[in-house]
Amino acid sequence: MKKFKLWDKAVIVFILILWQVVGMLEIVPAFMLPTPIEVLVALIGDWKLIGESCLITLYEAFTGMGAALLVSLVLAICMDRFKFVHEALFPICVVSQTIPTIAIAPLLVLWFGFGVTPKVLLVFLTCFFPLLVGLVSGFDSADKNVLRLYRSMGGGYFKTLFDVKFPYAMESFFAGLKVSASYSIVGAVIAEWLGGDGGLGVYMTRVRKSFQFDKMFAVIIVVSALSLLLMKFVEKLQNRVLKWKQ
Amino acid sequence: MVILEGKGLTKSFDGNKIIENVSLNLKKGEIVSLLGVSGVGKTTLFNLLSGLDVPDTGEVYLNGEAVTGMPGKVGYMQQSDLLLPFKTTLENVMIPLILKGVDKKEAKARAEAILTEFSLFESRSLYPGKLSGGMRQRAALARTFLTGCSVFLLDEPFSALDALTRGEMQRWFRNVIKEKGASGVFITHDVDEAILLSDRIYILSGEVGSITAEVQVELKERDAFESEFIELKKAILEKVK
Repeated sequence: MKKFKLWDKAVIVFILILWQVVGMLEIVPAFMLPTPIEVLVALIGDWKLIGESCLITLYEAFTGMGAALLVSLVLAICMDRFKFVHEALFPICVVSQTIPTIAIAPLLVLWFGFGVTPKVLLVFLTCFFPLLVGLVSGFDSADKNVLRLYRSMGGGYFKTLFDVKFPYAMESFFAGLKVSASYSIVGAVIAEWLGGDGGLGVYMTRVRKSFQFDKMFAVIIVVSALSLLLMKFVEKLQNRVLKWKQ
Repeated sequence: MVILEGKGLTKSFDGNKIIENVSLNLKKGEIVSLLGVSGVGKTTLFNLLSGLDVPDTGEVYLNGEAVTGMPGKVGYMQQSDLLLPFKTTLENVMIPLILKGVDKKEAKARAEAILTEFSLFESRSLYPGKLSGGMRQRAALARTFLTGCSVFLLDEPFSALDALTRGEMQRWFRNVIKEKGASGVFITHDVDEAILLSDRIYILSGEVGSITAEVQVELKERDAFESEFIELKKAILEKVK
């Protein structure tokens, strides 16, 4: 395992060096493909604005994801408790997932303006489904015999839900949460592309239109880094919650 | 004195009759086994006796009171140990007390006491995944005891254990039940186990399960190599067929 870890780092370093050399030899014009060093300089130089944009995007991502968490939690419990709710709503949730984000984003802007609302909504829409599926299938994965045991010991629905179903659901819930975490940042950025006053997406559009590709690359790196950090955080959280697995 | 009684129990699933007109009883302080081949409806009968399922016809009485279809009245230990993997041994054993609304501190003290008794105190903070088969079974039994019921239903409690551990657990189990003055019915398809453990054996057989024989076990020595034991085993095997 250790050896492979070294290899993937080596590949990244190699690509970066190759990229730098290609830029320095001017094989590709500098304004089209800035070198890694130029990107780094742009990132540091424009850090204040990028930092502010980051905060706006993070705010939208977290709000949307928080809302998605809350709604999926309530809905998953309802679906678990009442079969008809599951039968009535789950298909709609599935269909809602087949609608491309890119297609619905302009509509959301049209309906809710250029403020924060459409961004949060788009994040909500992209994050909601993985979370819901994670919880619902997680509840279903609870050992049927353990559920029966709880019943035989006189455990009621909510007691059983919190004591048995939630712990059993944690694994698939975290799988959903990891997907949602990476979607949330990308979702917010896509929504920002379509207009607004701030955020990484707006910054991205602005520098693209003025052909500042060094800044463009800088902000792409930031978006990736944010997604990775968030996923890493979820992973850490998962390890803590599922510590009995180790 | 009869403590648990099933009268004329019949149950079908999807139109298929599983058991028909089964009547049995358990006296106080007695260990009774339910012997029969796989698929004869032993577990179905247990689900009725424990109140998890409702019979089509018939009634279940506990201390003379009808408890048909009322779960939580008897301690029921199912086929596998069913320890929750995400709870420590101690937390697992505490479950029935917590569900009954016992104060957490008291529940912990009582669980620790029974774990000590079952030689599991050292392992109390381990997750079940780290316990051996015998330890898991003991933990499950400890949990069943803490349901506070005096009647226990045990569905093949030793089937998941290796032969050596099983023999040890069987002796230990009989002692514990007798010491605690509890009563229990357990399911088995192993004739040796039935003779070794029980005071009385019900034989469940037939296409649609019903009780075809009842055997009193009166042995001086519960030793599988005694001639008395072997005679009884022969007689029972005849009846199972």
